[in-house]
Amino acid sequence: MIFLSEMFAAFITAMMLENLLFARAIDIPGLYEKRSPQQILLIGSILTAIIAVCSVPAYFINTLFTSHAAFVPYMTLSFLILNCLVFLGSYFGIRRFAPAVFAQIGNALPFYGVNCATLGTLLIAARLSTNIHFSSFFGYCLGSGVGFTCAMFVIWSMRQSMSLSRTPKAFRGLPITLIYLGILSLSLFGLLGNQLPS
Amino acid sequence: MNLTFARKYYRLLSKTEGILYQNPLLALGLALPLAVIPSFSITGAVAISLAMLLCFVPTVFLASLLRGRFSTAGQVIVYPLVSCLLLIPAGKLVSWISPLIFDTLGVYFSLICVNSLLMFSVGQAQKKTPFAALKLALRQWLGATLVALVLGLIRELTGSGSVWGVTLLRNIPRLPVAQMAMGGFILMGFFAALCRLIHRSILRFTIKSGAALDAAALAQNQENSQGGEDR
Amino acid sequence: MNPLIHHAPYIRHPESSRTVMSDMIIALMPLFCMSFFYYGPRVFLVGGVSVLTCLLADWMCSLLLHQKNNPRDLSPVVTGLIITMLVPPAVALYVVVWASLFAILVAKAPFGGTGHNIFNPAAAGLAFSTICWSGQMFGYTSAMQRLPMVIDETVRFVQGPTAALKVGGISRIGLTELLLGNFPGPIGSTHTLIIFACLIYLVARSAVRWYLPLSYVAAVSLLSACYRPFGVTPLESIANELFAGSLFFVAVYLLCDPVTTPKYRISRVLYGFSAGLLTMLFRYYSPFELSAVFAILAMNALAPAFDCFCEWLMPRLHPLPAPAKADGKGGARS
Repeated sequence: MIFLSEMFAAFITAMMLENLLFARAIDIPGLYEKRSPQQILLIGSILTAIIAVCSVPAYFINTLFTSHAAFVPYMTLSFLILNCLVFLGSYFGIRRFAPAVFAQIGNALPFYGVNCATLGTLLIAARLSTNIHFSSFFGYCLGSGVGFTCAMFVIWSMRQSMSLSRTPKAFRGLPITLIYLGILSLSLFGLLGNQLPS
Repeated sequence: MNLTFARKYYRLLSKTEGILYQNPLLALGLALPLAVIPSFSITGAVAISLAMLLCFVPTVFLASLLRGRFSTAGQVIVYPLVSCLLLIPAGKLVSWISPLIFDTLGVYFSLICVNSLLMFSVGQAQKKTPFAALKLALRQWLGATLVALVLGLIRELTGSGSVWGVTLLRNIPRLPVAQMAMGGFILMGFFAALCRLIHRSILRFTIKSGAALDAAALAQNQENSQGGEDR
Repeated sequence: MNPLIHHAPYIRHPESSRTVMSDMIIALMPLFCMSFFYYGPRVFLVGGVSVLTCLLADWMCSLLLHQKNNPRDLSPVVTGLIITMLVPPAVALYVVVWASLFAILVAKAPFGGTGHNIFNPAAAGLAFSTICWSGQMFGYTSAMQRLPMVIDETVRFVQGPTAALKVGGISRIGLTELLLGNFPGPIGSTHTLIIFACLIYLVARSAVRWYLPLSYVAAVSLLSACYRPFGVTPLESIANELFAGSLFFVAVYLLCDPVTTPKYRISRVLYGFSAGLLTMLFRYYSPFELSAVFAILAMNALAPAFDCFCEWLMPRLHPLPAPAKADGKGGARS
């Protein structure tokens, strides 16, 4: 029960309070491309699955590294190697067992597997606390992936409404998207307060 | 259209591609985490830019040397790993800037090795010669650095009234929002809109001045033809 | 009708953006009068500065965008008045100016101006000021304390009842005081009875849909009744949550903005209920006392999603009748 409650608390924190995109400005390549909700769900699922699978060995690597101070500078490298291995597994797994999905997103799949969101989540979760429990670590990683997927849906929702409005030409596309993200980030800071994310 | 002016303008744009034209941050929306959060002050922007110079430029150059050897999946694994290895000496260089720089940058220093600008440039470098790829990498680095420095200056001035820790504005109300994520997003959005507005204004001036020149040339021709008929 | 004199469109709806905005302004005037009674003429100074800043910013944006300035567009006036109502009476004027500038220049103009904004400009401006100057935004003065035009050392600042609610307590203000707004708080958002009367006027004028604030209040009441402090009755908890702060004002004036709310009735009800739940979540976990504006901003971003959900749901609730089968003989029947 304690395991589930800790996991749930970390999940909600990562998904809403410390959302990867709105609170930490961490993105993936091709975030601003036009996508349908089904594609967003697919990309989000792959991202979340990769982060969740990475989190299990990452927790033990983090425990090992934090106990030896000399290894800490190499934590990024070890997490990146882990991320790449999990991505390779998922790449060949999707190619083998889901060829229809692979045909749809195979070209862009590498960019969804290794990016700022996947590596950043592992690094942030490792910095949460020196003696973090596995439940919180896993819940945080899972929540980050789900929260990023929700953020992509919010951007899609923004596109739907902006397509009907008369945006000035100088602001169309990337500028208005950034301003929109800024105002959403403002609303989330109502929960966070004046904290700079690490 | 004033073709001479247009030609000069487009020549300038092609020479500054990646810096003023097709800026990776303002036009392509790449490297967002490195522009929005670490550029809360000049110090952070300089640190990230130095680290990018040591990690990003050699990696893109290497990608052009090894062009065609790896598929996209391989590129996404090899080049971030190379960049991560280069991050270790970059960290030692950056620590000279400020002893607390890593505490303030946090995970964003480590994210240099997987940022979207690196992935994009590595893909572009596959189609270029090593010299052209090096030029591309340097231009994009310079473009990203310029934007980060401008953002860092504005955000530090408005947020804490200082530049590089030296207080300049004492009695003016501060805007702490400028040094948060939302300030970075909003400022970058307005900066991108301003650059686009300047570009469109120059193009409009080109067309208008060309139209004015055409009208003047037409009037001159008509006068000449009338003068010829009178004779 | 002589088409040479009258121009298209010939079929006109009695309601327009001008009538909606003027109804909102009329509904805000009684709050100004009550605030003048409590705090003196300074409220007019704050209101004037806010409205003037909004109008100037809107005019400047029209100029920059090469658009003709519409003097019949009263939306900047409404934005300025709503910002005034939610700031403390002794707030520094630069806070109000920055809030108004942010509201127009960031939350409204880049999205296309009046009728095209995604976020409520007043909510965005207030959220900005709250994060930048939270000390200024929550420094209230006692009611019936006539404030000087320029705030000096003679003005005594006190905490409002929302500070007690924030730490899980409850203020022991009587129901009469709560309804009349006779306690420290923002300029105009504590006069519950007057806001309720204005709500009736706005509903009668069709400027506000009655089910939207009702669903919001229902959600807030539900959560405040369930999660009340120890030793407090549910009704007391509901009364304090709704009337001791700016929640009721936000429910009437900010939530019901016709531009940022969803378009269908079902989606509006769901929107209002979700906004109430999110507001209470922000109320419990936010470090700020005025947290309803942050919840409104977050809900504004989700408004198109509610419409999409409604468009997905409606064909399933009311499926269209199947088309009649063709008899295959073709041609006209004799």
